[in-house]
Amino acid sequence: MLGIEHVTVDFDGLRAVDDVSFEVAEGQVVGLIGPNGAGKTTLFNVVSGLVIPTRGRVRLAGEDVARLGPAERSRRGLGRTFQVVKPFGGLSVLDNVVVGALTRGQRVGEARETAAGILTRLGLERFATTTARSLPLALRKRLEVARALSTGARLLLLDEIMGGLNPTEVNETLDLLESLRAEGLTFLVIEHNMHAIMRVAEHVVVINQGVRIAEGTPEEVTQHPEVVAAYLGEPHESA
Amino acid sequence: MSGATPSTARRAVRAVGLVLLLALLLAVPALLDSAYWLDLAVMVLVWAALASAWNISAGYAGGLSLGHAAFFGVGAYTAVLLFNELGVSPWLGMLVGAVLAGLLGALLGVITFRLKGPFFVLATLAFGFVVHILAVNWRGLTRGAAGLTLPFDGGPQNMLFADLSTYWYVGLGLVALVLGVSLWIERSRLGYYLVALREDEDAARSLGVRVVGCKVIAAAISAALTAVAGTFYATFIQYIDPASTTQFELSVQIALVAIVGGMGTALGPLLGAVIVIPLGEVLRASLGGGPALAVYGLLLVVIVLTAPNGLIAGLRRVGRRVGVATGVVR
Repeated sequence: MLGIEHVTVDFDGLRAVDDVSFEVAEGQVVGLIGPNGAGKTTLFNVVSGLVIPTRGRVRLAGEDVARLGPAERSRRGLGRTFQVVKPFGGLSVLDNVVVGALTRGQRVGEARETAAGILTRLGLERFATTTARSLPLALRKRLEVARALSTGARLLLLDEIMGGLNPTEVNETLDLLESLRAEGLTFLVIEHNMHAIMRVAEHVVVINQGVRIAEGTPEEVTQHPEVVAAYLGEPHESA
Repeated sequence: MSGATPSTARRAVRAVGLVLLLALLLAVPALLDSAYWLDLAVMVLVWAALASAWNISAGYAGGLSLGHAAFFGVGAYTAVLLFNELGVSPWLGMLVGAVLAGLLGALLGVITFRLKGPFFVLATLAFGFVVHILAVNWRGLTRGAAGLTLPFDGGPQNMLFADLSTYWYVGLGLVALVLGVSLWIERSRLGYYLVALREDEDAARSLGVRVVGCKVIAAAISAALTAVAGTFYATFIQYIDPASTTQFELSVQIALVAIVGGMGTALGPLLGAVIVIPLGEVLRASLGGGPALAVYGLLLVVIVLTAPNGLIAGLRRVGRRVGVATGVVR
């Protein structure tokens, strides 16, 4: 579904991502973890087309998408959320979601229905007419997911959608991911909440200072000495 | 509340209001008995059309242009030159001017779509100056600062009317055209895309919005409609020169009218023209040049400070309060 091949990103001499490769198979939930500044979000930007890599390639459903901008990648089934949320602040919550539904070719009327359906599914229907900028952060995070879904994306890049949520909200979000996955969607998930990532991801990629240092099942990576050193700080025997 | 639901009551009030407004607009030539006031009223229509056309690219798409006088000039000069040199009716010249300006707007859009904020504004400003300098110095074509007159030997087929009130009605048609396009855009796919990319370009692109295409289309529509207003102005005044059609001050005034009225709304720019243009004229007439400009400037500052989202937003708030007080809305 998604292939990241030897991707390197230099920002004015700073190497943000260094020769990272990994695959996300269709129907999988892959976690992307690493300490702050590891290059996770930069990698997301490379995949979604907002950042052009210095070297390396991105394949989407087998197609090399290097020459395609974000809009074209979206139209090929890629959706994403932003860690620093980017709502269309002056628009209503519903209209935020309508935009994505329109790009899949729906007419305005249909798109509004699609968007309303997505809002209901995510428990945002009460806020349909609220101006997006006045939503509290937790709900703006959810709006990010709603928007990403609105395009009919088959592969979703979720950038810390659980940050700042309380345990109940985290559980709701995890339930949502499970049900979306049951519909055949594929996910690449950046998350700091380790508990959440352990529950939802079957495969985890760990990067540190731009370098992929480990990959495997959640259990494997948490026991990987380099990961423990770089990310978790110390081994946890009781777990 | 019982009986009629609030929404039907509101719709009824709105329909009645619309009919009254329309009747009032049609009766303006009869109500304004002096040529002076009717002349001013026609200029309000010109400015309403200009501000509204500007609003399509600047208000919806967020590309704050300070070069729109260029398109106004293209519309004015194209029609006048075609009429004077080749005898082409300004009705047709208006279309030619609109197409030319549309292409020019699209070209400018293609060049500037990457630019953000002040850099975009500067680019449009420079573009406006280029066109103005051309209008002044390409004497072989434009006769420079001497300007061009539109000989009155026309009649309706040449968009030249003996009667001021006819200009009023044609002007109303012009405003209706620009307003219609604005309302259509607001409800269309394009409108959603434009507002989305104005609010956050990266998010819009990531949702599949083809940002460049949308910006270019908006720029082209806006420029074309501005040119249409330019042609109408030329046939109304029957004399054009660079100072009255391509000058930087015009670009500023277009933006100002729309901003004061309310950017990003279909009705805001129209309201802006209704308030700002007569205000400037009345001040000029009563205080004279310098002092009038000072007071005018101060009043605009006060308006922008008290209604930062434009007068239309303030009017809506008041309207809502009246509606609640009278029980029309909850």
